[in-house]
Amino acid sequence: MQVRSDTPFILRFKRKVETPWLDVLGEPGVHFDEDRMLWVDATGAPLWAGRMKKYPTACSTAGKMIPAGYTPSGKYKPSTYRPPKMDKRSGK
Amino acid sequence: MARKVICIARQDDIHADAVLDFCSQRGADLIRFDVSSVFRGGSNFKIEIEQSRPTWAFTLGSHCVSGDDDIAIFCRDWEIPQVASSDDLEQCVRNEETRNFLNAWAGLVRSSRWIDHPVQQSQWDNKLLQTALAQFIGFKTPKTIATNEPEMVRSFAGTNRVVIKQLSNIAFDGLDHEDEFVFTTPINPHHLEFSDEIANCPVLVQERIEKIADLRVTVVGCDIFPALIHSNRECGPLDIVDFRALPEELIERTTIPNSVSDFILEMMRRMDLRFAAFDFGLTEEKDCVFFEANVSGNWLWIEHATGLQISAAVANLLMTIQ
Repeated sequence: MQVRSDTPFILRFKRKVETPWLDVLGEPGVHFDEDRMLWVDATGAPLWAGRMKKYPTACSTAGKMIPAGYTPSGKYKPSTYRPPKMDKRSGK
Repeated sequence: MARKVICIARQDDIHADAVLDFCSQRGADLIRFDVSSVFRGGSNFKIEIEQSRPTWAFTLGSHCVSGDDDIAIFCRDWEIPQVASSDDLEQCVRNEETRNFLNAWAGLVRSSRWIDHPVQQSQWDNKLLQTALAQFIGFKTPKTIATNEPEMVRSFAGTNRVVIKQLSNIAFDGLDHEDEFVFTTPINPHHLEFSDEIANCPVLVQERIEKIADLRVTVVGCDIFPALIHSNRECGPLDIVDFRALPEELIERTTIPNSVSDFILEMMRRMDLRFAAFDFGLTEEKDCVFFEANVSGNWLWIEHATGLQISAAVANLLMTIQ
């Protein structure tokens, strides 16, 4: 069956992309720090480090709930509790 | 005088956050703006063309930068949205005048100060050109066609297992206002029932590579960060070839043969880029097949999974380029 329309063929293949992880930006306390020019949480910790990678300068890390969200590749990560701990990799 | 690092990115781009965080730790003075909103909110930009030489300067908030400063520019996003003039004349004029102004400014700043210059990014953010270049260099690429001739695609699909790729990088706003995108997707006989629509708009179709894993190699200057993505796992009834569409992926550090790293560095040299994220398919015979290079690719998902210090490498390069 041949179907004629004005639709570009490529649109037959589109699919939903998960909303980017930056839905987290709507979380309480999350804001753009104009001085540091990056997004931080209520404690002032950079968001990019919180979910993506341990921030390399803090020696002790307070326990906190990491909100559910999406990674930059669009994968959903459920909310998890990060217990307090000492970071022995600090400064390395 | 501290180096001034200018980051051109959308405000919600956390990759820009990561790089600026490291640049700040290295003593840089940071300036960040979004090209689509740079002329709102009290910014002042100027270019003066006099008899001696053109000069430029701009002020954003409390930050002032001029052509006499020691600068490096990290360009993540140079896209100013197109607006049909019939939709919104004022917005269209704002965007087009801004686009031309900023393009002139970019032309006044030496390309060696950029990661990467928008002209290079724009030229090489093109899968067809990249594939042609990779093949010219002698690297293995999938058989590729791009056409608006339906019969050519039907014939190609008749003799090969094939996938379709989006030529551009745009995301679509779906009916329910959720983002939609075309991942690399296999073309099946059902799709071909609609193949006359190919006449409406060209498509990029490639031979499907039977791969056992994907290789993502992020390049920053001369530093290469290879990661292996185990993307060949069962996905139930779905036939998924694009790792971005997988619900989860297993990522680990890996090493690559010299032939692959030599190819990557040669591609970077010919494209005149300092940053790119290369995608390869790894076959059962351990051959690497070049898929594409993302000139403004994301890397934090790799950094998070593997510990590869890509953000720091970008910051280091920004602090040292001349």
